[in-house]
Amino acid sequence: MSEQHVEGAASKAVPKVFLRHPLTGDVQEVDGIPAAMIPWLGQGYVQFTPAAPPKGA
Amino acid sequence: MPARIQQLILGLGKAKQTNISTAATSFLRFKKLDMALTTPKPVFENDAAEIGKGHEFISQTFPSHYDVANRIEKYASAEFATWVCAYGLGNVAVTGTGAPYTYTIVPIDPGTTLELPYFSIVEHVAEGGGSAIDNLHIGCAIEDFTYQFNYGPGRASSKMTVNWAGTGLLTSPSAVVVPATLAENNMLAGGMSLTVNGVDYVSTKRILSGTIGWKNNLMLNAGFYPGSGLQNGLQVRGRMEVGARATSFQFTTRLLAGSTEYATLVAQTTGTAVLTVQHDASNSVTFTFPQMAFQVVENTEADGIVAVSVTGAPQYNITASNVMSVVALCGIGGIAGSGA
Repeated sequence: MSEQHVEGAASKAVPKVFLRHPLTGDVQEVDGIPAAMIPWLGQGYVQFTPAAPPKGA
Repeated sequence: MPARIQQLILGLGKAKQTNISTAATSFLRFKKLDMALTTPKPVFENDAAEIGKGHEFISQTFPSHYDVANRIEKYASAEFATWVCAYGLGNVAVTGTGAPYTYTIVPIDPGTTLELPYFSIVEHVAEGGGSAIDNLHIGCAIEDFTYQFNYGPGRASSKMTVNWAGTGLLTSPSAVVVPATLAENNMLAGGMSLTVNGVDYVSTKRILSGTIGWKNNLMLNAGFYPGSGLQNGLQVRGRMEVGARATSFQFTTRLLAGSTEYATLVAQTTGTAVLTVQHDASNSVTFTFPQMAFQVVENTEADGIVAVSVTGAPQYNITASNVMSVVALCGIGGIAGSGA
């Protein structure tokens, strides 16, 4: 029962969002929910999509 | 042949411009309530006040600058509210791979930038097989917006008004093909929830009306800097930076025995204020003030019912790093984004 519960929770995992500070370049990977993103956005971080790593990397 | 104002086609840029002078390539077509047309207003000065001419009258005029601004008044739909808040506050994160998209929006951090995302506006008015108006205004930013709710039926219970300003950059004819009118999901005040400082004003059936406002106080004159650019010999703005911004929240509610508004004012108690208005679970807007005290509390009446009008004093919250945030859900992706 407990394993099923854990599996169910994992399937509802919150997608991550990448936020980057445009001046310092600092990157934060946070849950893609407003409560997690708002404090970073308020500090000037902006959403971005990291470039896919090159094949074979 | 004259043209009627109802023939106006209004297109608002969906994706943000890549820079202040490059027009957007994707547009959303909205209906609106006001009849204000945008004028690409060239401003000329003259020499009437100059001495040495032998008279006090104008003898010559001189090109000065373009000054473009207008307002949009609309019933509040999830799509328009998302557009307004995204461009009006400026820092937007979008999540969701399909509708509904979730927009998390906060004011731009002035330590990072003073410039909001720029959008384009196109206006068409067909006339006589051609166009009486066919203008594309490039490099526009939102000066202020207001969300207003009222008791009463229908779409008038929930409205948004936005004032915007432009650089003056103009393409006419626009060469823009505006898409079909957007099917908007209007958010009636009947679908609203409001909690302020721990008081649920909807479940107690007390709330009557209110407004949420945001003003960027754009530094429009500073946009005309040396080298900002010319168009037809008149200056155009090369930037539009935010000034000292301000936000506001005012609401009127029925006054009951045990109402806490006056006590909250006197004690200067601070708390969270959250207003959500929705069309359905996939189309909504939530305004959150993480920390707000009351500035003014005045007794009043509404339709003969004793009421109290509260003017809030939203405060910057260090933990949340903002004074106001907006979470909007709608079926349109890419608003104020960098895509097409």
